[in-house]
Amino acid sequence: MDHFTNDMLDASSLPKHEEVQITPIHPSYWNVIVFNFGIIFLLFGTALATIVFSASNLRPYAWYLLVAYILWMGSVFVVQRIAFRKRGYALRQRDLIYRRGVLATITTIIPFNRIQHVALNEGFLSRYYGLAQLQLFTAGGASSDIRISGLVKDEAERMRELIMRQIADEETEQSGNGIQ
Amino acid sequence: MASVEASGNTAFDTPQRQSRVGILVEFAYTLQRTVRAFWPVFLYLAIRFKEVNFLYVGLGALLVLAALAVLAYLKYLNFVFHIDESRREFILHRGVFNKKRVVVQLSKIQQVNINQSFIQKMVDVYAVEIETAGSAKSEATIKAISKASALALKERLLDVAQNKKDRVAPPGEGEIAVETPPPFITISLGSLAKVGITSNYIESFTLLLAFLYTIYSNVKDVWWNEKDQESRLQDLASSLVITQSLLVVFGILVVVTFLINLLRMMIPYFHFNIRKQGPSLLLSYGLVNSKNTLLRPHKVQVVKLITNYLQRKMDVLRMVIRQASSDIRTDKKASIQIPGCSGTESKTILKLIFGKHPQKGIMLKPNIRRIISSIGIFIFIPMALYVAVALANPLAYQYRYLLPIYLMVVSAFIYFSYQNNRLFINDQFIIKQHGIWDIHTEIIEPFKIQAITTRQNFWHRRVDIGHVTLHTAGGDITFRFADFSRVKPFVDYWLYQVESSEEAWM
Repeated sequence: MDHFTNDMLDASSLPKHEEVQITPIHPSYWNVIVFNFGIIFLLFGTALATIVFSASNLRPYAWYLLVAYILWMGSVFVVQRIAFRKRGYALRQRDLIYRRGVLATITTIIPFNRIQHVALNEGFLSRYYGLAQLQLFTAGGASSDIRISGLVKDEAERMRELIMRQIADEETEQSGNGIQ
Repeated sequence: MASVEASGNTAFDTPQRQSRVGILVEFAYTLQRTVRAFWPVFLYLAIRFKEVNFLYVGLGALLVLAALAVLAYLKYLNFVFHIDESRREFILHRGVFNKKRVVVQLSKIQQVNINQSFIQKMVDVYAVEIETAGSAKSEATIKAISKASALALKERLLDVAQNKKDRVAPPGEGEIAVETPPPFITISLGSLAKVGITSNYIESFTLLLAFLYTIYSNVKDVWWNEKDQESRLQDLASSLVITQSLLVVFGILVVVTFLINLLRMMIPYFHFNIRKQGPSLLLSYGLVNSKNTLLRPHKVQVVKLITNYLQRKMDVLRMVIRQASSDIRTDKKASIQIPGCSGTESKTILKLIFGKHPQKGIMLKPNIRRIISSIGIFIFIPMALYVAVALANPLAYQYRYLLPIYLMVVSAFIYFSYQNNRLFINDQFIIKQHGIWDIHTEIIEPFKIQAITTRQNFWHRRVDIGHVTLHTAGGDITFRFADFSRVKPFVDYWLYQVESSEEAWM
């Protein structure tokens, strides 16, 4: 533990996570969100309509319910849009920053040398747009794992490889230390 | 001694069974489980005591016992384990009807515990429990094995599992580690008693209330079946005599709560002692069931100290040590309790875990907004609700004298909760302190951070407030309502520490 006995660094000389340029999610991913939203909108709408038309005492309120449903779904849609626009990531030399949140701005930073494994997921619709989802797992439990959707597939693949290489380097370094 | 060493090295390479008395242990456990599963039958037999034909019951019982004995024997026969050196795996076969094969990779082993339950104590065998990080339940447990074999197996498993650099004892001196050195900390009954009477009041009290309520409702059903008698009892309850005796009952309740707390502390943690074993700490404790847990300092992620005003006066505190786990909330095994130790003892333990005593360093206070938000949630909203209820229903108005009491208690809670909430930072430790009555102090080392999350609500942007969460493999440490521009450079600094660290976090 000797190599950490140096005095506290001047924090202003360290790279600042706050000032990093955040890359937004690829615009095509909005189409995926809209498509998924549309399916949910129709599914719930059909379910609601079935209930309303099978229960005779609800029928007089059908119009109100329709308006309420559309207003509710509309606000969900707006929230989705804001969330989409606020989502972004930044790849630094030694860590990955992921920012999201609607009412709050949530920034998670995962150092590469703490990543346990990486998963690359491709949804059915995402594949059509050439997009993929990158999932990072750490030993910090579910609260610290992140998944970034709507990355260009090649970019995601490159990120995955970069991280995997970092992890591999880290491991050989550590086993190297162990032998001494 | 050399034979111990030799057996310790090669004894587990070939598949082998448990100790022969293992049959008895298997039998006792199977019997215990059967009785537990069929307890309604026994209850029925006990109630219909007079109508039971003892011949049939006796014969039936004999048959069941014989079947269980055969089952226990088969279980013993089929329980085979060994270490496959070439593949570096611990392999265990077990099961009679459903055969099971458990394979644990030696490198994934986190902990090996040697325990002894009451049954095992009677036939002088031990249980060996092998734990990995992956799951909350123990992967593989051997139920009956002699002490020498248990220690040798543990030594062997951990030897391979541990990195070579952690090995302190050279191979020729294996028996020194097998014969454990004397404990350097033994928690006296006095310390346990001190902790017992000064913690967990609420828990024990509710347990007791629940227990008494069950008794009351059962007794009521049996004795006061008629409605009018119960109402007569309620009439009586309004009289002064009953009120007085209620007070007495309450007093007894309080005393009994203390006693229960004492026992809950003293029985499971009886003769709690800590020994050094190479670089690790061996914790042993328990009156009825003895437990042994091995603690490896470099696997420790979070250390928590818990103390309160009374305990500080008596110089006792509790420690919770959290090791790496996939899910710290459900995995009880990953956190180890040291029920009570003095200030100096806790310093010794901290020094063994961290290599030095953690200093507090720079202090961060939460923003005053933390109080404002608490006042909003715990004072303003309940008051508004009360006023609304009282306006609608004047009956609620007669409880107004409770209002000042509520306000005083809650204000005190808010004040102390704010006053005790601090974050201390230096270049080797991050220490978070929080709590109202029980004060929790959580200590982590920056290089053991797995990820960092900051969070800022949009209405906090203008006043420069944010929350920060440090994710570790032993749970999250969250400091809320920090001055955001003050905490952000620390986030950068911690990232620098993590990213430049070459030390293994586990």
